[in-house]
Amino acid sequence: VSEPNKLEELLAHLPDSRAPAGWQDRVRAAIAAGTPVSDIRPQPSRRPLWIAGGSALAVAVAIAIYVVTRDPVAYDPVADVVIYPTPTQANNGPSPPAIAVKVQAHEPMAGALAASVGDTVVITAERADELRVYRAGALIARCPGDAGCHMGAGHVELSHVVTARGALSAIAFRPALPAEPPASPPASLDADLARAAEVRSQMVLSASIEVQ
Amino acid sequence: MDEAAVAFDDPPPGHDPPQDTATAEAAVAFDDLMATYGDTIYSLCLRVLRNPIDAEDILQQVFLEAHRDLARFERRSALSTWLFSIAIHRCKDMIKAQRRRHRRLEAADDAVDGVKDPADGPAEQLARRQQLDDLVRCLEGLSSDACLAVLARFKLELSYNEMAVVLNATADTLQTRVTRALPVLRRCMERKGWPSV
Repeated sequence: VSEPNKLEELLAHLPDSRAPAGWQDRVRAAIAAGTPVSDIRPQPSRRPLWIAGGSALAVAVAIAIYVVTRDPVAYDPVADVVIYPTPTQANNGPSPPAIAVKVQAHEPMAGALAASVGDTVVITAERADELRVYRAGALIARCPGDAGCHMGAGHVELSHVVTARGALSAIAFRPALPAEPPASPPASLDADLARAAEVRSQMVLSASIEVQ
Repeated sequence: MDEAAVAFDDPPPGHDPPQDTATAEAAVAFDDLMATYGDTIYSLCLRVLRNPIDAEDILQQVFLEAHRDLARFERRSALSTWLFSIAIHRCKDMIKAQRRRHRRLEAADDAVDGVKDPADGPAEQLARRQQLDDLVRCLEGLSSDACLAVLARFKLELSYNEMAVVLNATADTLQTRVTRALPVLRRCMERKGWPSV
């Protein structure tokens, strides 16, 4: 009945599932934050990696997941990740920034936070002084500094027209990052996290926006 | 897997790049590594752990660990084998944590889903996709250990000796585990309408 090795051949060609959008950015951010592997062994509770940050971190890494109330069409569920300070630390100080993402899509997609090339992603941050947007760990837009940036008192909004596929993520900083030194390499998520840690800037990472 | 896609070769003697350049090149190479193997490792973890959150946790841990240890990678095995080994170790850790968490018995190897799915679709490509989908469901009927052994052997193409190192069992034991699992999968596939696998 069986062809020899047919099953083995099928097993070898099992298709891969696509890893969740933004996982590479989360790895880069954990590396930049100095998260030791020994502190992120599998935990009995199911928690994102960010929670597993240890006490030896240059940046205290922790998570607070907020599900932002959604506007049925314009807004998708957004999960913010408070990178620094931790929620506990924040209790004794000013509230960390908050971030929200809205996709102005030509054809709204249900479900995950997703956009298509040509759509406009509007990122809004409160209690923040700067917004930066990254694709695959590379800085692609910033506010202040780029077109589509609108700023008010503690309010930053960036309208970014998506020009390429890939997962986008945004970070709101407070205070803004210091200017890059001359001749420094292109800004990246890794470098920005490290610099934010140096100046103890509060940071909140947006959920990933999958651009298809 | 295209090992050539990941450029971790040492520079030739006397041609050490400047530190910034070297750092940037390493970052690009590490990005390539994640892009090349991320989905495969995530899929392995997802099929074994059957939980996407746990699978992503492991995926991130694998690459954090790889980033930490890359400089000490001695190239006694392929880079992919080394990464898969880390992933398998971490999956086994998670399985233990899951067992402690749920304190449940693992399903018996032959406790597979008996629902018969119609294998329709005239196009060969569609039929093959359906066949693979059914195989994924059949894999879910195996115990975690058996599923991990089967995937390590056939999907990751590890040898039994390589598997023995990372799965902490003898090669003979693992071969037996795989040999016993394959008929279970075949019976499951037969029940789903694929008698010739």
